[in-house]
Amino acid sequence: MADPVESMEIIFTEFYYWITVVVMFLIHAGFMLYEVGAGRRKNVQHTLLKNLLLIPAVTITFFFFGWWIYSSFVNGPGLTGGLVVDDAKFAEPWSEEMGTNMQDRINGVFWAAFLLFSWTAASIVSGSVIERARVAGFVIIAILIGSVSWIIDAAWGWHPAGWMVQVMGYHDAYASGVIHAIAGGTALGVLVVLGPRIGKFARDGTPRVIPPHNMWMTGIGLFLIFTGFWGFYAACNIPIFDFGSDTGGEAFFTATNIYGMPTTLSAITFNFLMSLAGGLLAGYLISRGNVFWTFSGGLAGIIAASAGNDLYHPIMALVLGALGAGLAFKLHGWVERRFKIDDVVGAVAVHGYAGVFGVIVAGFILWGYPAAAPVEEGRAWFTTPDGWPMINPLGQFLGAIIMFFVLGFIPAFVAAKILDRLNWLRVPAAVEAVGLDAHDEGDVYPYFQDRETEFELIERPEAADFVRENGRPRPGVAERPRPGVTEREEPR
Amino acid sequence: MTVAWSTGLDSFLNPQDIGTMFPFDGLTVLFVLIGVALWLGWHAVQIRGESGSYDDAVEMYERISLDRAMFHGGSALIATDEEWQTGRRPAGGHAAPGTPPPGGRTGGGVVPPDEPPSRRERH
Repeated sequence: MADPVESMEIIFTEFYYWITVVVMFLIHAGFMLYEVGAGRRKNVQHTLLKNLLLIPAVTITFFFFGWWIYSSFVNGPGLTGGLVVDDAKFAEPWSEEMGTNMQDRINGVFWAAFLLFSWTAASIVSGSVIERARVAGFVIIAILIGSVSWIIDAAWGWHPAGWMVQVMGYHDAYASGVIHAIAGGTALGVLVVLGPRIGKFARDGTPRVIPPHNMWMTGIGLFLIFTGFWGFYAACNIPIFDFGSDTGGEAFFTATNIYGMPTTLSAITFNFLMSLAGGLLAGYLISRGNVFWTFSGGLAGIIAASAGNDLYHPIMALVLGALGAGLAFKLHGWVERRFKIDDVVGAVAVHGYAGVFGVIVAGFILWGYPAAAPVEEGRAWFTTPDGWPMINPLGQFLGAIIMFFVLGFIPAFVAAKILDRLNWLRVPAAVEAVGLDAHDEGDVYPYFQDRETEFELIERPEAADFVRENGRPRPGVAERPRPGVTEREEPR
Repeated sequence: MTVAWSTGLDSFLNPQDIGTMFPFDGLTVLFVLIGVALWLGWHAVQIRGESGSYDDAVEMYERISLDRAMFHGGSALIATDEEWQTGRRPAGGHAAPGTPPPGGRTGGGVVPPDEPPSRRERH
């Protein structure tokens, strides 16, 4: 770096992303508080460990292959071209640029920024499966989404040269689909196989409320997620870029979104806060003042507007945030009742349904905007007058399906089935009934008095029945015996 | 006398000519193989340990009965109480394994005298 101006630009960019990584850590701290608060006292330490361990597992695998996938899978491979080899060499784990190198100053910082997105995706799934998922199975699921499936979707739809962007005009500036929809789909795929917690549904299928052990902790956790989301938004931008020269005109420096299309920090500040406000207001009203769903509504609000928050008007973000929160709340309840899905923190709804909504609605509101500069003429289904791939409803609709089902639900469902066969997915029923901390860690609040909830009075006899029957609590569905319980728990 | 057996990098006087700075920069493939082996090994050890832990727990709950295990509600005493460890009534006359507590954990409001020590008794 001999040129002072160029050096300042590089160092500023390097430092900018580095700061976003630090801020994004708060997302993970928030997810931990959120999950721990939403769970019961008897499972707190297991919940902490399960979530914590996704960090090292996803980090090392993202070093081994996740970061390389992002640059090498932009064409599918096999959809619009082959595997990208030469341009992805910097991300190979044995590359000299994947370490201290005076000729490359930012590879590790970009790697970390994407890695934090990976943690977030995996952590979203973590909350939905607490209180009965094994660490062994969850960590493998976390690696699947954190270092494989989400980063494939990023290569496809969150990269200026990605085939979804270039062909379909896919636009998802702050990851309604590429993080949240895929994480929601993954969570749903796992939950279908995992089954609900013991006692969650009565014999007639009526869902019961299992009270969280610490609601204020859950609320503060969500507040930390809101805080970390600032870092996430900032990390999705390129802070300083000569957009004018890059597009054949005079020099014009601006911030851009991840596709290299212009936006401003001002825009995302307006829209982030307005969509949060819309979600909180709607969440409060639609849940009739429920604390959990008011906070979650704020998160769903941001997610519902994120796909287009680089371009929306703040009032659009407000309204979309409100709609996203309402949709998440209503769909969560309906899916729970209809399909007996026990999503402890509502992750499928808040991230999955709101994310899908956000991606689809952006196709209508931003219909006609350029999605990215073309890599090759004639690839895009729809183009702007300049011949650039154009944002459109069809591309967004198909993109949402790809995110939620193709890369989210299906791989997770298959992986969960395999893990279930290996008996690595769910803890034995007796362990679940007594508490995941009981046999190993002990009570997390040894100095606190016991207080039994109404749910526990129902849970205890039912849990004993479930263990005796060696089945999981899925009303109306015959269950195969669970190894490890079958041999030991004789009917009495 | 110089000792430079790792990278050969022994001067920072011409930084523009420096590339990799980490030691043993020709062994990155080996580093990755070691890392992958450690990663997969961790899973193997973790899965075995967790499975064994759950096997032990299920066995213990069978010995003392699920009702009694749930009575403790995740108490740390489970791992230390002699009765939990042995399945036998300890000296002092605790209730026999399999005997559910009258009134549940808090249902009776008072811990029966022959119950194993609970958190309430200790604190």
